[in-house]
Amino acid sequence: MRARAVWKSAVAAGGLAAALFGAGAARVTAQNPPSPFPASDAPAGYLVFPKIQTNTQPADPAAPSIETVVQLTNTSQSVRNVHCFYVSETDCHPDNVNIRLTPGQPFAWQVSQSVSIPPFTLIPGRDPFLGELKCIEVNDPTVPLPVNANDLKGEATIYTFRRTNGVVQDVDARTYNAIGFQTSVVSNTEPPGAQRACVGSQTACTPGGTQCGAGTCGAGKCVSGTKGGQGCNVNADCPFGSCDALMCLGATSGAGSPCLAANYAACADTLILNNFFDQAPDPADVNPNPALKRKITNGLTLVPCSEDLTTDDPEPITVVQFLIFNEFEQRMSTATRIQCYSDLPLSNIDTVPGGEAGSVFNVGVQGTLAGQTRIRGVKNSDPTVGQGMLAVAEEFRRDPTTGSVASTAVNVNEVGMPVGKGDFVRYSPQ
Amino acid sequence: MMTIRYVRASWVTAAVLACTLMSGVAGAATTTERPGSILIFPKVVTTGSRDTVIQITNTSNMSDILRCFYLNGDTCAPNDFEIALTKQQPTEWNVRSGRRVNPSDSQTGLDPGLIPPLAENFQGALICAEVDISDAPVKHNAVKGEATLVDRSNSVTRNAVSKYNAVAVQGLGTTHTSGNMLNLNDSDYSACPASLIVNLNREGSDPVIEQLGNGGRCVAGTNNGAACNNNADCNSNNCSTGQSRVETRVTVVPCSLDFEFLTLSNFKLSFLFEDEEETGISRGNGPFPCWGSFTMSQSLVGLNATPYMTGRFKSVVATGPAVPVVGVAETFYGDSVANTASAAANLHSLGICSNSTQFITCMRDIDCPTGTSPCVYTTASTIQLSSTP
Repeated sequence: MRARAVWKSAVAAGGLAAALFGAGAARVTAQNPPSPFPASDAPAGYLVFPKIQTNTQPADPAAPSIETVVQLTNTSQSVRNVHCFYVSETDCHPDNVNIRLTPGQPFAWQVSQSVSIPPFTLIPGRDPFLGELKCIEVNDPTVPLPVNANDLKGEATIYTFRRTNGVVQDVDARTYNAIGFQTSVVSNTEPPGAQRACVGSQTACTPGGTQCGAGTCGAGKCVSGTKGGQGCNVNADCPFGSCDALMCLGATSGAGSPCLAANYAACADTLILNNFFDQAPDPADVNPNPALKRKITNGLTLVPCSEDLTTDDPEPITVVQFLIFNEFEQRMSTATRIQCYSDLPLSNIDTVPGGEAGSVFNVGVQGTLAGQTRIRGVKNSDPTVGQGMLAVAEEFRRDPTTGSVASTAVNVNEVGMPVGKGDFVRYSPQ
Repeated sequence: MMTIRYVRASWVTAAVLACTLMSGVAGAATTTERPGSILIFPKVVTTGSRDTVIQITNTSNMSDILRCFYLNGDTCAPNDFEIALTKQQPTEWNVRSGRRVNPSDSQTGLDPGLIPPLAENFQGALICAEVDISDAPVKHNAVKGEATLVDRSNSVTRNAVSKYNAVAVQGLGTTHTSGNMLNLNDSDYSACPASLIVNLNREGSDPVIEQLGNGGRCVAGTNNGAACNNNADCNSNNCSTGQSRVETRVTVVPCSLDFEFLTLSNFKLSFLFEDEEETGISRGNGPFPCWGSFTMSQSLVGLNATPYMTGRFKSVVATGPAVPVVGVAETFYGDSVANTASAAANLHSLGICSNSTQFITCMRDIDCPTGTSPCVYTTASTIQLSSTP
């Protein structure tokens, strides 16, 4: 018996209404409830770009030049402020980025280049860089706390210029959509919050509630200082400490959980990747000589859903399991440990470089061209750490004659919603 | 077209999962990253220089059968076949050659069924729907798919390879009572989005290629005509830049499809373009009988735009019910010596303010100006499968 999750919608609550369009027509008018799971095909309040890469001036003359163009669009009719973080794969420390978007404005920038549009848009250039970009729709650019809106969409295009002896030979490009998390509260009045507290006390409160009396329900909580754990809106509310914002991607039950209630969509339990196995010949290559056919290899970028950007402590390690099915329905599995960021060729998940021929992701091991790979983070009992993962998958087709590489990028599928275990993002708004 | 089906003797009942499975969500539009009961691949092509590889996976622990229809975008004629997938089985095929049922051929794996090859110069779409052994539609919400558009030209570098996710339509509830009529109305199946938005590049030179790649050609000197990025590449002779190219092509297919009586949708597209300087313009495109593919430049004539833009669009019809569409955008890049590349992206969904005479997009009622709400996120349509004897 298949268990189904049903998300109550305005439609189910009697929101159905017929509207006429054209002569004698009826169409569904459906309120759009916030999506309970991440999506890369609808605007959202929190976006994750798992792979951002630049190296425009590589020292090795045989290495390709790489640039990423990020496109961020405000789909609403109002001005929107966006607070972003570059999170590097080397140290997982965040670099702030602030952007102001006018109504309906598309905005794009090359990651290697700095952008400054006073007074609110400031983007530092990063070159070289490998990591992710997280963008949050915020209310005030000076104190960027999350706002209850879903207006952002984004794409990242990675350009690669193959070089020989430092001379550019050709161009390649691949694009993926940013993964969006919609805020889970249908309201436009208060910033979202979970387990919030009144400013100046630890009394739990809800936005617009009466728990705080004449006071206000803080959007963040003081971390350390003399008022640690108390509600706050600005750093000044937290002497000798800081006011941190907490985004709850799903809810985590149990004592010690910082996210008893969700204010954003939850990360999926399992990611699903349709992949050709590494070294599979390109099915579209009609060259009669198998040795001259382009061979396919895969790259997989994995980032954890949970991120604490306020601390220098090492990121927690997530064990990620991979279940692989080939076209014979045969199943194999492997696992790896990920800390903060992982960008690996598929065959290097279970083998060291040089040993790819023996990988469970290799066509020679699997015996068929295509496979299905199911990816999940192993859940543990720690309520302060979620094990949800986000990913983007890349394919590379290498021509053995010319050495050129054609690449693609695609968002992976997701299934399942974790019960009682969510993820979170914590950052310092100042 | 009847095909050999693999029917497993025993159907494995899926175990109750510890995690609840995400399936049909009332009020949610189509999806590009969750399994569904109907898959729509808006762009399938076979030309002298391009080919398409289809990947479909059954993500469930039960066998699944799909009725698939190639829709010819030029003639609007369908061509159908069936495939059967065992539990968790992935499959793939090249649309030009199809796939035969031959366990001893070089295409290893369980052959899902006889998949016909497509003729040269086909352009159109592929639509697959879950059915049971009697061809009655069912709602397992188990399948996902991708299409890879591959460069098979004879150019030195064949980097014009793009990949996109199939648009999945989820079945809602457990029963379907209208036979071969699939109602995409947020009650039977998820409905298609009321409007879409695409990010695109203004046609012209590409700023990244101009900066880092071969944006020009040497003028005069011993390497006259050679690719270059700057004058230093030309032994101090002039490098004539600005010769790179970028162009975005959008391909759409309507969610109203009739494979029984071949009724044509005859839809147009109404666009709102905005650039980074908030310059906006309205344009139209079409009509399209059943499928459309066009470069955005065809819609941007007369607009002096910044390099990056957005285009919101919805489909309109002269009479009758509105016809929603789904689609994919593909951007083509070229340097000064005709090396090419491409990248595809799925489109984002938006609602529209239903009581406005203008085209205003939204995500919630409060996004609509006074008097123009409610915000309508989806539009109903139907897919009529052809009857089988």
